[in-house]
Amino acid sequence: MSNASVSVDGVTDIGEREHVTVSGRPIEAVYGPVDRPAETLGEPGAFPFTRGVHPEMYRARLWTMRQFAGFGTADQTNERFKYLLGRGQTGLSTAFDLPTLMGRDSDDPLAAGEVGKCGVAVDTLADMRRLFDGIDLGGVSVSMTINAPAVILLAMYVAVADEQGVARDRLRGTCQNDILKEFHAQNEFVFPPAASTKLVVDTIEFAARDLPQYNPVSISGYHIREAGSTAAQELAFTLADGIAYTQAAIDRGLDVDAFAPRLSFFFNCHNDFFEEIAKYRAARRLWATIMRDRFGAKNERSSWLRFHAQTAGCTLYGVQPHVNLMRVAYQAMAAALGGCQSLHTNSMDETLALPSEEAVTLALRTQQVLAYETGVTNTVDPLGGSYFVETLTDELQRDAEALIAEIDELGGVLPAIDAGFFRRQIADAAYRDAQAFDRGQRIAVGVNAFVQEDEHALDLLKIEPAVETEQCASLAVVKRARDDAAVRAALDGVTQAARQGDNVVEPIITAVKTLATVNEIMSALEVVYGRYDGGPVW
Amino acid sequence: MQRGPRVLLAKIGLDGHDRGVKVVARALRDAGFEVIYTGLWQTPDAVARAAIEEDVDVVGVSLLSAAHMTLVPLLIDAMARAGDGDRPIVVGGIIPREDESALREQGVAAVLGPEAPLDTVVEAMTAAAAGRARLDQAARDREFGRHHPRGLAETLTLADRNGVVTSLPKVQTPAQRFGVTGAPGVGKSTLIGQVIDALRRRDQRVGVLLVDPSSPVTGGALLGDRVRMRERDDRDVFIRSVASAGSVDALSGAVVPMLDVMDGFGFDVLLIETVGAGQADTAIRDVAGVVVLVLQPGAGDELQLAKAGITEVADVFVVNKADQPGADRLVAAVREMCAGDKPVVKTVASRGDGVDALVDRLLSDPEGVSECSQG
Repeated sequence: MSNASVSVDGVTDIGEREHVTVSGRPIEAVYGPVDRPAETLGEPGAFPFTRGVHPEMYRARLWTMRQFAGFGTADQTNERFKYLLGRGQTGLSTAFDLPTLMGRDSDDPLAAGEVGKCGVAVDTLADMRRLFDGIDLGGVSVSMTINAPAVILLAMYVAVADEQGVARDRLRGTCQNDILKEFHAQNEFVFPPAASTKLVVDTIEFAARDLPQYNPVSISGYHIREAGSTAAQELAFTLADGIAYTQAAIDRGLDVDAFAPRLSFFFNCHNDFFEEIAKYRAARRLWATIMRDRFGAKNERSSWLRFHAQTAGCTLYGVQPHVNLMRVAYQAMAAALGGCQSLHTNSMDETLALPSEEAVTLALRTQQVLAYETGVTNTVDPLGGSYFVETLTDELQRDAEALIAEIDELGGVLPAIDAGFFRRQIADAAYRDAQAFDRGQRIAVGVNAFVQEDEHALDLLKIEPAVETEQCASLAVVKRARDDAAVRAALDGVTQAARQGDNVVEPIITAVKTLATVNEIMSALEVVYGRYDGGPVW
Repeated sequence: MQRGPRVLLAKIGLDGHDRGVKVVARALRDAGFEVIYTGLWQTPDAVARAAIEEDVDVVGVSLLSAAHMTLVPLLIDAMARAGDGDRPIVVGGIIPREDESALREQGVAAVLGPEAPLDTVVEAMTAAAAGRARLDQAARDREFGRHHPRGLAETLTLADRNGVVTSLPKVQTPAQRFGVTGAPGVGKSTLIGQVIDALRRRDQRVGVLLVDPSSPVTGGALLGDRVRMRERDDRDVFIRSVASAGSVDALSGAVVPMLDVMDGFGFDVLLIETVGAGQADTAIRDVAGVVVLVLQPGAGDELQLAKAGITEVADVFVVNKADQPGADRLVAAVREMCAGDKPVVKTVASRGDGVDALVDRLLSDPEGVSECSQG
């Protein structure tokens, strides 16, 4: 085996490795003063926001501790939500199962074996009601990780709030709703890129009018990084997607300052401590500049890059799983030092199963120790002015700018998707990383160094196959009880709106209220938009 | 050069995590494997079919959504039902230990986790591939004779590796052979997928050869064109990917004997896809009765046309992605610069627009298409 060169105690061999970041960026022995204009740094809460979007950051308001949760049926996830709120979590984050993420119902043949596995199964508004049963949507912020069918799940969320009597302008939370990164990395797309982008703009437009406190899109680098990109690629591709949505909304006739303040971001928090901190700082500076110079934003809030961070699932291993606790803790500290607005810390059993209650509690406790015991929240941008961190920040900015220029050169994000640009870049980087791991250049403790035979296994959460049967049965009950003519008419309304190029959000809210299923509404849209076959493979 | 093993890498179900499968694909290519990738969202039956048609030595399935205990047994069952229960399967992904033993008991050759070094992956795949069973000559000819796809697939492998196969029955009516060529990205594979559908609507039995270059150093290749064809549950369509060694006479080396084998299987139409990236592709002229050159609007149209050789061997010009700006300009340029009296057809392959017109033209006058004046 090629990793045999790493000895068990690791000391001598590890000393001989190259000094590079996990993204392959060379690192000098010592850094000195940075030669560049002072205004690129600025003060916290002032353009270009390198040091943070708020002048006081965590002194004024701590980041939101938001653990992604969802599995099995709506009732089971509802119970987990209440458990997390009871342990001091301050926001909810909903994971949907794969069929829901792909816009399919639980009784679809392709859903076999997947119902309730990686998240909660939602087929109709009836499931959504049970998901938030007993939780006041006016009192908690809820994020939903959903993309291709995001407009449908958002419509269901609004419909539940309507039924709870919560005014739409009180709804707080975030819908991931970032379809472009699906084409680059995560592959949970359904419609072609242009039509998919149109749906995102529909929700941006709807939110600008009806949901003033809600983030209709969370422009995500997380999955790009998980798919194997470097830090600079994650940064560049995410901002390029942000540029694409912003341009599409402006082309729709929206004023940039009417929606840009509600655009939010979502970044990965990987192993390389300083490179990650630099990435967040560069992201803020770049976005502020893009908003001002490319889009002429006047509202200062349009220039704020606010982001959620999640520790990197791809850095965790199933062997010696307790070691994952340490990885997650360091990654979380980088997110805090980088100025995140909310944070998810992965559970130590992440690679093996959905988190058990013990694992998810420890993950949350990791954030609480960070926030309340370490003192990192006492001052803003504690690493600002560090020779090393400022140099890295500048380098990340430069690399990202070069990649964004390359995408512009290709004609923007959509033509670059057509050309296979993102996938090739990411897959090549992933291969380089795998080779570095094989050579022992990248060490994973317990995996290719410090291996230990006597491991004790964790108790894992098991999703019973009964969930699938149960969910399909309850879907059948809902379908029997509803008014089919009303469903049909509402679905026709969705198709017609899509055909005319109108905003489809209100027609979809009408459809979900008739208990039309996710798949039925997706099909009503597919008639007009078609399906995407996936673009270039390699 | 010694030919490496063939492997089918498959994603079954809705799971879209493809980082692992793409890294493994590159590692296997660099180790000399011919790698055929199915793309995402396959059903167990579709994977079983592809494994037979491609006659791979091992099937690698990648699963990261925790559905492995449902989907792997379904694949094993699908392969057994297809008369292919002896082909080795390797499972990759996040598989808990207890599930690993259960899968091994059901016959899975190896289970590889995300922490497995690439060398280990290559070794496991090589070992699994070495354990595959082949039909003997009698069984192969019998299966071929009763039109079982495995009989054809294994005979094609023989033709691919050794050249001419002599044991086959004499061909009564040879199939019409259409070559489809054009630069990467113009939509050849998507177009062929639509052409297959159109031919099936006309009750034609279709054999397809997808030719892609292999690395001159390792012999390895990444073959992904099948992804665009959409797997179909249809015994009258047979799709095979071929790695060509990239030399000028590569096409006539393996492809001619393979086409002859397919002829003997009784197809009505044979489609051959090649990358039209260089002069080598004028070799398509020697194997196809009609050569279709696919172009797309956009920068460099004139450059595409000016490329020596390829436009001269084309019999039919297709301007694909004809809904994009510049399509009419490209049609005019084609007519003026090289088509002469040859037909120029506009298509939007992603929607199927123009495909029927193209197919009618190909079928109506297979030998003399070049004399048509209509476009």
